[in-house]
Amino acid sequence: MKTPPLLIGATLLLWGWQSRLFYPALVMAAVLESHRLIKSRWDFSESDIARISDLCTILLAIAVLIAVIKDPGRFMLLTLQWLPIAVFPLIATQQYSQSGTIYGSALLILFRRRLTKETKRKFIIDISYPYFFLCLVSAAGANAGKSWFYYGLLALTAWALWPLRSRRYPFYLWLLLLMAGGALGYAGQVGLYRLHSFLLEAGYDYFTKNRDPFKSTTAIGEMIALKQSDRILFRLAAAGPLSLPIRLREACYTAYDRATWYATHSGFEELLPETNQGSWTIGAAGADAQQVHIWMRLPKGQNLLKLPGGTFRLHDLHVARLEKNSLGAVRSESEAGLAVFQADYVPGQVYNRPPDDADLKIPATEAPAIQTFAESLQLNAKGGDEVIAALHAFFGQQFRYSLDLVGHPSDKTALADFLLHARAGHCEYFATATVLLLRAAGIPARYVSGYAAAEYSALEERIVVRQRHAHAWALAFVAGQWVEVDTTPPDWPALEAAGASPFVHVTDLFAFLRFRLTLWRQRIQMEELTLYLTFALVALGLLFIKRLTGKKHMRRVTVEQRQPVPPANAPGLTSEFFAIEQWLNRQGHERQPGETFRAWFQRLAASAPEIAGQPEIQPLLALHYRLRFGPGVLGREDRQRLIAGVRASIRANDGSPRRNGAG
Amino acid sequence: MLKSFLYKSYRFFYTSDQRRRRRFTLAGLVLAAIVAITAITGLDTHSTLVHQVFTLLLSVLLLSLVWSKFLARIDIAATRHLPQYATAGEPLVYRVAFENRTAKMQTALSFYENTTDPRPSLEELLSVKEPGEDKRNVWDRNILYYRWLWLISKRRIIDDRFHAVPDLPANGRLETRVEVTPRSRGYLHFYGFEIARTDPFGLCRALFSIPAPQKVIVLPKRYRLPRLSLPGARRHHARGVRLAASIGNYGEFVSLRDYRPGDNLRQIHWKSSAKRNEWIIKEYQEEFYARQALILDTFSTSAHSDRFEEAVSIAASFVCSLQTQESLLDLLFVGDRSYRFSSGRGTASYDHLLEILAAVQTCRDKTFDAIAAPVFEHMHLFSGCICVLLAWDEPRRALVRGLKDRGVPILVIIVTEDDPSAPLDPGPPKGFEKDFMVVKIGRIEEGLARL
Repeated sequence: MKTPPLLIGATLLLWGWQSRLFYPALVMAAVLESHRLIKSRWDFSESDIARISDLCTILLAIAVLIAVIKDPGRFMLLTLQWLPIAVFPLIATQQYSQSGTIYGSALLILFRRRLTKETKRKFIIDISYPYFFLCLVSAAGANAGKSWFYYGLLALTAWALWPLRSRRYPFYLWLLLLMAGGALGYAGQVGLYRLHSFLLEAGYDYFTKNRDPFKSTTAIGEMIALKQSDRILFRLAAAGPLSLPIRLREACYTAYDRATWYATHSGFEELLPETNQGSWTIGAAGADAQQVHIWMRLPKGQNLLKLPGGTFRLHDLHVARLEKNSLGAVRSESEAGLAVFQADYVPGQVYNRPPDDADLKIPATEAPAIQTFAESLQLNAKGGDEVIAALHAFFGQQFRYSLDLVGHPSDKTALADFLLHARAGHCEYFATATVLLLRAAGIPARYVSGYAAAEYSALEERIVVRQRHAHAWALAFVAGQWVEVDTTPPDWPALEAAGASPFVHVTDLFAFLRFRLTLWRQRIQMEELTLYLTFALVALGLLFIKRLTGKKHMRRVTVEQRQPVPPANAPGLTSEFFAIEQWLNRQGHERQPGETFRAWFQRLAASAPEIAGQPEIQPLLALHYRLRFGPGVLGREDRQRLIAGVRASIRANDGSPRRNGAG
Repeated sequence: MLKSFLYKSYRFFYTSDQRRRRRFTLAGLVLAAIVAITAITGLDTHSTLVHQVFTLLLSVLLLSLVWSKFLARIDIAATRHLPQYATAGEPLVYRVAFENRTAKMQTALSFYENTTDPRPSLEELLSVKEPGEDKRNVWDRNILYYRWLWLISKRRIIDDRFHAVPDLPANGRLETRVEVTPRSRGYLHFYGFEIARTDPFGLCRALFSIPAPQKVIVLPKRYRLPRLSLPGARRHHARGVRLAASIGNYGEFVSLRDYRPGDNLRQIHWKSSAKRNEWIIKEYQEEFYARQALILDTFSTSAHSDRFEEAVSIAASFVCSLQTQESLLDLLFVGDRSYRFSSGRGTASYDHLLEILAAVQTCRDKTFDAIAAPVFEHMHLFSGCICVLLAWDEPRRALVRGLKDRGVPILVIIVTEDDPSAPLDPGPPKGFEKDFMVVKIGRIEEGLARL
């Protein structure tokens, strides 16, 4: 089934426009559509098609390679956009081949070997419609965001469907139905987009773990088994020895209410880069500073950086914008990519704004349990360091870490149940309880969420931080400065690791390979790579053309050669008189097998005299018989008479009624 | 249990596949495939616009489907004009007359023939082995999928294909010619026509049935045989015609020739013999009325055996060939019991034998010895015997030896696979090579040309 003229060309132009490859698309469209003007055709054998198919596979592999190098996160999308180029040699081969089709069996190596000759002959296909759809999907994959794309899509689809329509129905009905389909499709795509947006929004926190610097909803009180992913989120390395775990702060919160922490008065202020464009000063430098290198994938847009609490300066961080708030959260804004930077920090030091009244507030719902507890531990009678030590001892000895959340009785809050009965929970319980108990002891405290880097990977020779290393802890203002208080039992990383997937080593290996590839990709220049690949492609193309045009392979066939050659033992098979036969057959006057033209017309003379009884038919039949069976060769003038007579006869009879009720 | 589950699954998927092929046009199937692809690639509506392609094409396809669901039956009648016979592997051409009983012109309709359901029964699937199945891996052997495919291909006599209905004028009647190629012999049952009307987009079909039960006998494929010199005919002697075991002679003198062993002494031309001092025989116009037995070996372990099919084809070729040579032919084979059918010269017609050959099945519950008794019982009737055998093992060798010992001229044709690794062992009896022939599947005609 062939596509209508110019359809593929138009679709290629749409694809070129969408994917910003307009000029290559223009050339491709011109090549494919000019096959209607160029008379030459090539005779491709099955092995030629197999070679061209292999070339397409190589082009596809190159496309995948470039896409992976260019943007590993979107390589499938990029490959999809370049598919029309990869498949172009095959469709061009079909358009310029003598048969106008290709051997489907040559497309896959598996088929080439397995199929018999008989099956291969049956498996001759026309890929023009599949190529049309491929261009359409690729154009959609480019996502240039143009609102008119849908209308272009509708027009091209209508164009493609036009030759397939049923003759049974009037044009207006077809158009009406198409418009209905178009409207339904439009509504559907809007609905799908909205549904996707809704789902993204609903699952944003859960899937992305990209925290809100102003609000953190904890899993306190939920009845689920928390299962965190083993996915590696970022990596760390230090020049000197590091004592693990290192807590990397993401955001800090001050107010607690019903399982949610809020950051009050925490607007962000923009930081200005230093002269070398990659260095940023976050706070005042301190003595005994250490350096840590961080490799962190930043999605497009705003991201909270995971940094040690005492970070005062960042190096080699190339982002468009960097902001910080008074609670120590640092937010970057950039394109998607891997950020490799160095953080200078002072161990044990925490940069945060001075405490205020909000850092001593205990929500009314939690106050009874907290107060009861604080009294039982006699926290009010202790100094700052003693309180912290008491809390460490209390949580460490009488509580255990658990990811199984079993809910709580309706007469108690989840936190109260955690403190009084359950005595088991995850880090959010420990951190929240610690903050509120510190406040009950009169010590200003805040809640911090982030990650605990505790796993050294021998494979990567770096510290790897996984999604399951997400953590929460408390800040306490003791002796005029903020200190980190982490009361979660220290065995929590081990308990988390016990639930890791058995395939974690395999996924780690792939993650590491991907990480190395990204590093390599960042090192080399894309332009340089594209240039090399272009040279390689041109060389490959030349080599391929040389192989294909060798003596044993494809052969050019001129337009004269393309005329069907009648078999030597059956001259006159090109006689125009057969057009009359075909025309009569279409009218329902079947010629029976073995029935001669003369006998046929005699039979028709009775049933359809207006056609077969024509006086012009008999001389034309005589000319046909001469052409077919001799004697001699039918002269040029006689042949012209035959052609003109056949045309005139068909034209004259085109208005005649069809066979009706004759049997 | 597992096999039964597999069988039900294969039946279900085969039926749904057939339904899909009938309900959708090729364009519809391509579009459905594109919808499936875009459904996966267009999941991320924020990164690409592929979801727009998906929803548009899905809408078009759904409208087509809905349109094709609501079809008021069109009042048209169809009659099939079948020939009496068809031949396996040869095009069967017949006419179908359509009558439009409505006052509206009916255009763009198509139809396909509802024929025998090719799905095998569970028993058949479990009992019939695909040739070469032993070479398949354990999984394929146990899962029976290849066996299922093979059985379907063997049981399907013609391909399902849509044919165009000519544009029918209001209250008009038109005929169209249909050409199908039966792939195997047997009865080809036509149950009726499924008339199809596509939707305005040409993607889906609405179908309704017109019952028209009929059947045609598909005769076995036949090969060209050279002019046969049948075994058992004495040649060139005088006397009349006899429709009997040995030969008949005819009284037209042709020539004199040297004596050959076996010549009737009554035919000696004494004068010439005296002149030449050696025996000279009078030679007469040859007479062809001979009675031949055609023994068809039906003993195969498989219900669908290529070897057996070729043997049937060879037997049918002999039947056709002998028809032109005016001899009597008796076909002997064993089915559920032993059969002997005579034809030629005023008995049954040769067509009758071909019909029998079209329906003959393999015999799997008896051994080859079952044919020996009827053959020896009737052998006195025959002037010669043609044996078409499927193997050359001891029971078959014993039959041939027995016939040879009784002085019956015999022609043995053994059908084998074209497999050089499996030579026929231990070969023809000594002094018997001339009448012993091995033909290989795929090169049967070439083998028979040596006759």
